[in-house]
Amino acid sequence: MKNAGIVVGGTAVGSSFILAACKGDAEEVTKTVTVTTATAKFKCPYDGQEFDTYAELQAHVEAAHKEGDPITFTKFVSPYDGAEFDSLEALKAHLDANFMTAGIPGVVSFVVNGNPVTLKVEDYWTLDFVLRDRLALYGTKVGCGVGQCGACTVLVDGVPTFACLTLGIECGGKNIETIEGLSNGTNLSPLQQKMLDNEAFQCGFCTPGFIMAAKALLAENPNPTVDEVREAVAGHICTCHNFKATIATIAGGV
Amino acid sequence: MALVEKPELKVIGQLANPDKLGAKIVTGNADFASDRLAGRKLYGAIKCSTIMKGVITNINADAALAEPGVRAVVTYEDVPNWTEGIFKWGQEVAGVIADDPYIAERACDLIEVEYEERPGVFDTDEAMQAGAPLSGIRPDTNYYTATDLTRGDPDGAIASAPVQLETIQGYSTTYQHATLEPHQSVAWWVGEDLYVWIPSQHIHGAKNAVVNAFGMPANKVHLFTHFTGCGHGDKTGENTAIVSAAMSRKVNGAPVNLIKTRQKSMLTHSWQFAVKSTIKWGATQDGKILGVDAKFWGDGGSSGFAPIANVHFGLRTTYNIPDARFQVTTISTNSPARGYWRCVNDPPGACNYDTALYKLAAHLDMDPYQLIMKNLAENDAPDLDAPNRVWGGIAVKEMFEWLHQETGYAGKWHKPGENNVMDDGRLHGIAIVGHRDSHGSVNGASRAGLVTMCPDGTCLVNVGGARGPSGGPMICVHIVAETLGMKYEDVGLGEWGNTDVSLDAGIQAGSGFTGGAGSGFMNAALDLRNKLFSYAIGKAGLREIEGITVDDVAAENSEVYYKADPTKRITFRQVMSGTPPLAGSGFGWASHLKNRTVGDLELGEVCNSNGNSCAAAEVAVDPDTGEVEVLGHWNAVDTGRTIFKQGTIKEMRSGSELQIWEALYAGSIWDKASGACLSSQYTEAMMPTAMDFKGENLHQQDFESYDAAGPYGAHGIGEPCVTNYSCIICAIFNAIGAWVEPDKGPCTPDKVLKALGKA
Repeated sequence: MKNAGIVVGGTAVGSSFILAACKGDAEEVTKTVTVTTATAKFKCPYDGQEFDTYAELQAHVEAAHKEGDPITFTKFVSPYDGAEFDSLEALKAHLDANFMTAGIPGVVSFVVNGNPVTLKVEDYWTLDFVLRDRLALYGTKVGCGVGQCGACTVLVDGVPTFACLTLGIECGGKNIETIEGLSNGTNLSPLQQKMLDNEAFQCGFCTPGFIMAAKALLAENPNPTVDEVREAVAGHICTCHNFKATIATIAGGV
Repeated sequence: MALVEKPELKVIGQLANPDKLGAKIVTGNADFASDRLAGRKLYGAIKCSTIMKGVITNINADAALAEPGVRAVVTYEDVPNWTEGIFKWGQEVAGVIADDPYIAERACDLIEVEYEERPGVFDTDEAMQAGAPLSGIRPDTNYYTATDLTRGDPDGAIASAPVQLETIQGYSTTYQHATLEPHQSVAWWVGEDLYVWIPSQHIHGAKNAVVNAFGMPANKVHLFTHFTGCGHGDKTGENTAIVSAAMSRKVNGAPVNLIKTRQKSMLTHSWQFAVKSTIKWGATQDGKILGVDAKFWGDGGSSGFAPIANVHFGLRTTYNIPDARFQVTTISTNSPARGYWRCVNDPPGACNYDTALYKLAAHLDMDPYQLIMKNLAENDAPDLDAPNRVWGGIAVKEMFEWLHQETGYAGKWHKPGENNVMDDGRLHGIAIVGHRDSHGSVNGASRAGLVTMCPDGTCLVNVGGARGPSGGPMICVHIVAETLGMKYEDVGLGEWGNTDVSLDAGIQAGSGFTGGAGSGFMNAALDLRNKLFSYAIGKAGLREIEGITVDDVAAENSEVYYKADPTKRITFRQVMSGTPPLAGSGFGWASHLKNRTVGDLELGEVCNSNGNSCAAAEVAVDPDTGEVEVLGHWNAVDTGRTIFKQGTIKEMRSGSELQIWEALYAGSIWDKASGACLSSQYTEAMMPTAMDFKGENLHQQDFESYDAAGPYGAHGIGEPCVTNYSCIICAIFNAIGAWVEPDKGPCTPDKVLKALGKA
């Protein structure tokens, strides 16, 4: 519980608040990184397309603008603090220096659902614990803790990832998306709406994991077949046994 | 599918009515027990025994307590429901409270527990041998006769029958409930008050257990449950509630989140019963069963109780056998506790007597469907062992006939192992089974409901239970909306699963919630309706009508109207404007109440039927690999009256998948010498995934029969949906002409090959 200062969306939550509840001794985090960006999107300066992660932007630029289109109107912009750069490399260096580890051992910075976050983590804390028990993002569930059930699936730089097998400290500079990031207030994402309309859930404990895996699948394959869906969610267990309905809902896309 | 004409209902049974909590689930806002107090709680973990029988002689926690981040250690001296006596491998022996769950788990490994090991017994058959070590579960014996019921002269009937056959069925499969949400809880004390969040299928029952465990006044114990991550009968929650409360007490009331790992969740909680049987049949050559002598043995493990006395229920009540004996013996061993997995009777019981019936049919060279239909008890026939109880409203016969039609059984059935080769070389099989289920009737006298009106004419339903897998509280919402004459959207689900603001809705298991809580909420709605109608008469200007009473008005679409002149009407909103807050409460009713009329609805003669069920399976068996593919599964359930249509469909659909799981996947691996469970993770327990559900065609059909015992005639169906996995085992027999020996496990390919003589 020591060194547990948290910064979420520019709001610092002091460890003394946490320790008071647990009756422990406080040891404040000495450095925090304050950021103000509400939604972190990486924008391509050539054609204006937006991406959730630096890696996606880099892949796009290298594929679509490999020969190096001249940048005439705009620059590479850090979505976290608005700093501008002439090259991908310069942007990467800036992100690494300011938003990856913040230079403090055990402090990690990443983006969760578009919100930059910097917090102190123990090196053995898994990502599910960081998300749930430090950031109060309870939508990510933990069913087994050993990568056998898929309930804790989140997207790390767009890739479905078992949070229970991923250390929080590994996630520096990553873009993490959880079930809470899919809806915008009362507006459900099309996938969530289809799951709701089809009642493709039972107890609901496995549902966030299935939805996150489905989101990644549909990003690559907007119209998957039943067999493609089965493969994509093969790492997920539903002990209520609602497999067929869930698969049928994801198949065909939204 | 309605078997009789029923009064038209406005809300109940309407497919368009959604689960009002669905949006919470798809957005990640469904709050389970541990989903609270981030950054403000400590974490608990438990240590399990490494022997199967003995006594704890010493616990040395020095090393654990020396670990940075460890706050305290608890033992049986701190936790009211733990003991120094050990009765199974994996029993809880100590616990650690620490700053994070990783430290707590690591510290558990550092606790040194010394035991005095004593002789135990793991195997059920060994436990019944003379001179076997005593398990210690019961004084002086490892087994007892739970049921011994005889009607007529079974020995004489069998002895004089033209055909006599003794069938022996090995132990049916046993498996851990393995619910996806592990057993977990959050507990904290504020002064003398205790607050606990748990996943619970009976939150008020868990509260009572906590009250008794700590000897506290009930008004100082506050328990909560909202969502439960699957239950199957293993999540009443008393255990984790008491342990986490004791842990919190040990650290001066700080919030403690007890989280059992997947392995420890599976080790410390209950497993499905395994049941074996020997059944003697006496029959005519054309298949009329004249007598039966059925003996069942059930594996109760280390359960202090073993309620498997009713495993014979389906055989006893579904078939008209005038001379019969039913005996059930419960065996106690030093293996994990056995408990409810979606019923303690019917899945293992039905597996036994259904396979026995198929063996009898094969012996008679008959189509088993014809054998079953020839011996089915008639609708409304008195219970042969309790003639004052009439089994009305059942739809077993109709469901069998529907399955026969829908599956194309007449054109597909063949003699076992004959004319069975499909175009791809696999072996085809088909089977239909079914029974009167022992679950789903009313018996709601100890259950109650609470409904409150809002100032704008909407209302809230406060359910004293969790949202189970198919949305149990929605059943109450439907019944309240129908009874009050309100639109579905005008009836909201208020705070639920909170013992402070709800009445006990009963246990959400045994298919008892629909009839029990449902009848309680129907009475609560009637109580509220009378109050509301009284105000409506005054506000609508009807008070001047001489002799007018609340019986002279009715409601529809959230409007109250005068029956004699429906143009005289007033909205609920208008009624509640300026009216004091109104609430209604009511108890459920027992199953034997007299005929009932609710408002304008003549509900007819009260029967007391259950959520009976039938199922069919069509399989393809690969004779080279032993792999079984379920080509189709048909699940038919007698709902009496379908209340929450979407939830019912889901329950039946998942019932099909669960039957496939029971037959082909659910199992466990043990080291019998030490009593250790070797399959306490999902992969080892062979939990299927999406890759295991391929091209099966799953079909569901609800049957609305004419029973009027439940609210609007409804039965509970949670258990009946999952009890007929024997249809798959019988279909495999039809395919290969040999029986797969269950041996306390599923029909895995190696067992199928063994049955084929290839392994």
